[in-house]
Amino acid sequence: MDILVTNNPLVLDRCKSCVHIEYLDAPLIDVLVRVRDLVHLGHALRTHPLSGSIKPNETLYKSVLVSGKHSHIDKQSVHIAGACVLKAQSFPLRVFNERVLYDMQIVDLSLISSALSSCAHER
Amino acid sequence: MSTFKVVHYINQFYAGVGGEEHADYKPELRDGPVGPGAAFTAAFGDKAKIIKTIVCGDSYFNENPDEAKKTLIDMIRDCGADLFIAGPAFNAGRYGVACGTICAAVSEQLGIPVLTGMFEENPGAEMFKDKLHIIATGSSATGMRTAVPKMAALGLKLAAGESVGASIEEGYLPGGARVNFFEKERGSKRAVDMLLKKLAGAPFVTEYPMPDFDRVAPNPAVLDITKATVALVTSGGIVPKGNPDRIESSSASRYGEYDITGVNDLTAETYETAHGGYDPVYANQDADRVLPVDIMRAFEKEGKIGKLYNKFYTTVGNGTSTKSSKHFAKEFAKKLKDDNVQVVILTST
Amino acid sequence: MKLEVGYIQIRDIQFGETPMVKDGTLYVNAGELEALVLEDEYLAAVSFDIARPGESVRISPVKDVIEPRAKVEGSGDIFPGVISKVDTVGSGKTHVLRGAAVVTVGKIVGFQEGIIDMTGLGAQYTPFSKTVNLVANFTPKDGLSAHEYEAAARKAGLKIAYALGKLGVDMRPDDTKVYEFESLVEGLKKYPDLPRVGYVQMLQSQGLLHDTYVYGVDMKQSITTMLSPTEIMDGAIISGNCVSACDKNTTYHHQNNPVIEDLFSEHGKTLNFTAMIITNENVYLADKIRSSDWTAKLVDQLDLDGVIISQEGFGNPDTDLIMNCKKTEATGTKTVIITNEYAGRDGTSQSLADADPSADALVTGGNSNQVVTLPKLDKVIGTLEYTEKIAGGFAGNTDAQGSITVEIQAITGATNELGFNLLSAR
Repeated sequence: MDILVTNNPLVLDRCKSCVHIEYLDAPLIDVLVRVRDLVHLGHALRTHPLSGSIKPNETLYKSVLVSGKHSHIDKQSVHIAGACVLKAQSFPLRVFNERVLYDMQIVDLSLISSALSSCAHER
Repeated sequence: MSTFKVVHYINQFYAGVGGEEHADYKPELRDGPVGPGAAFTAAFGDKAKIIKTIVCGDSYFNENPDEAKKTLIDMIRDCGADLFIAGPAFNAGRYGVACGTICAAVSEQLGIPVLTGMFEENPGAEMFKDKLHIIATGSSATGMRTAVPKMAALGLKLAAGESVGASIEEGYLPGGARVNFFEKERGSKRAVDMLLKKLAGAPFVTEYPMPDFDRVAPNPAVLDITKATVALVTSGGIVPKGNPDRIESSSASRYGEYDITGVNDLTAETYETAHGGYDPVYANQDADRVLPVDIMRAFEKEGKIGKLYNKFYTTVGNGTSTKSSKHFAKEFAKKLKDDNVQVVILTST
Repeated sequence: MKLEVGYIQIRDIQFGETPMVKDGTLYVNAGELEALVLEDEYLAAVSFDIARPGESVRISPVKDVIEPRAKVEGSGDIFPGVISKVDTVGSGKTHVLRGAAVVTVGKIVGFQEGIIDMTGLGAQYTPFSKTVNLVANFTPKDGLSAHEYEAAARKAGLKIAYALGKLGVDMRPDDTKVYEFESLVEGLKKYPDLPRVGYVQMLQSQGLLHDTYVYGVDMKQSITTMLSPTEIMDGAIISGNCVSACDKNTTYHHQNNPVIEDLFSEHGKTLNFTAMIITNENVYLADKIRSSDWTAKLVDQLDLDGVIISQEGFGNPDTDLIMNCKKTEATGTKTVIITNEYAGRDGTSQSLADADPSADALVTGGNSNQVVTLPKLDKVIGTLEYTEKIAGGFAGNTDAQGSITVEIQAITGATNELGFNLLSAR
């Protein structure tokens, strides 16, 4: 069963009925690290952790879909998930105004929805 | 406009003291330009002036790096320099390492802008190109004429605190920070030109070399280690006491092969480390900490491994180029294979 | 396909009663354009401004930039499937109001980006400091969702450009260029000895603020496909991409794709420009794998000798780029890629989020994290309210003198990955 790792409350709200969600009340980087850890445990990446062109320090929200746990480790997922954590860490942290938070949530929701619809076609 | 004051570092050879036989020449502070300093003086015009030249033997510097650095820093501190230039060292390995080392130290400890010049394959270039501006030179002193004007031009910029352009504009070796600049052609045209060259099999230069991908696929697992011959190899510099083969403390140019038949434990009396890149106290107290002969002998006795190979291979990883490392490994890996060694444990520091 | 493009040089834009082009000046009637824009029920208001090269003007946040063009002869019309009906474009005759651009401004989300400075340091980094810009600043109706507003603003900009383009239909072009794109067999017969080269253009396709439309089709729902490069000159590809100002392709970039132009200028001389392939950049990994498989398959089946691959956007498209490159190189096709870098402010971080040894021929549009301080300019079109939130801006980046310090990624088109600019890095 796929797992959607997210720290976006809007994604939690909108997607919880259609996909299993692991919700983290934590910074974006923690989502990427959690995804990397899951990948090392045998989950494969289904979406790219650096989805969108919004830099990892320009939004607070991230949603990443991983597969259920396999008996083998997916090398490509390990490679991508690790590279994404490193890339994200290279961006200095920034502070945001409350007013933009909802917009950030909306964009993240849209990005992950585009993947969920690809995913729905696949099944 | 004031004239910038420059201190210049050169080795014994360029100072006219002599060649390899005088490489242990101790640091000496001289007034004004010496040797290649004349070419710099001409290139600087009235914008900068070499006030002092430091002459130091390559062996002296490389064999006593800490002492050499300290002496040199003390000499330079009092000169009131606006710029420190070392070399150019071309392809002379130890000279290059000395130039890089002293430039890094001057920059770090005295905060004076520094600059050197080397051939791209000089081991000093690999060690320092991401820390310093190193002007790319030819491989030998015949490249002096082209190297000096580039070094002088960049040196003046550094002394004046002006912003430095991209490596391709200034002529320094790329390796450190990526720097933006405006090309003469737009990117799409550059891509078309690059493709035409690639199609024609002609040489082309990528604008961003991919990171080093020297990955080695692991061998299949050893099926039965209790029957296998296991060898120890280290880049941690463990050598018999006295370092009989004089493996360098950094940028090693050689490796050692030592017999450990009958040796069950490495002791402070018998082994030490030649490595200059970490605190040697604990390795010198008990070299098993880096090269675990004692444990391997115990395993051998308990039947956990087949046997310990009767030689070990060692070098110093500190600043040693991947090219040299590969070359060493190629040689001794063949010997290991010929002697039917199935397992190698590689220890670092 | 053969397309004759006539360029009508525009040196100024003025507001006037009668819309027309006269002696290099484009006259626009703001009232008429406003009525056109407000046909859309989602938009409450629009204001127009003109920004000329050299003026002390800053435009922000920029959504899209569009060049006014008009179809004079041949099938179809500009922006097929979006503004005009679906019909194949790319042949016949097209007129361009060269030097003029429609710039759309509107706060679609609160952290949006895109600065165009018409003078000073910032002007060096954006190509749109050299065009005379008619800036349309939209205000949405209350309660509009970001999706609805984005779509409305996107369409309104295209409509304005379309209307202005029409003013050039009966003009005599100052300059004409003919682009002829032969069929496979024709090209092979005509240039039997030239290397057969293709262009793979990657299009951002991920969701809100990240989409590209081809003949009106959302590219994320397409597999890798082909078209004639001349179709793109007629507006077959339009941008719905609002994020990452420095490396998104505006509609203007698509209309004037520099890779296409530079391949055409070598076509028949040193190479045979054989194929134009477009592929997407989806979020879903299986889509990335499928699309890059198709890219390589097309390149292989067309027996191309070489390809140029251009990227769009930051981060995950690096993975698409590397997949495409690796797979095309594996078919034996010589590959050159165009990208840009995020090497950190000091330039020492890893430039790309992905890498492969097969990517041995790379052209870069520069490091987007380079920090610049832009002087205070006399006039702001749009708002600077969000400069701290935009890509490349950071907290406290506006000083007492009103100058702003940003990474160049905040500047529209600064490190474009089609190779539009001179900027590079080493």
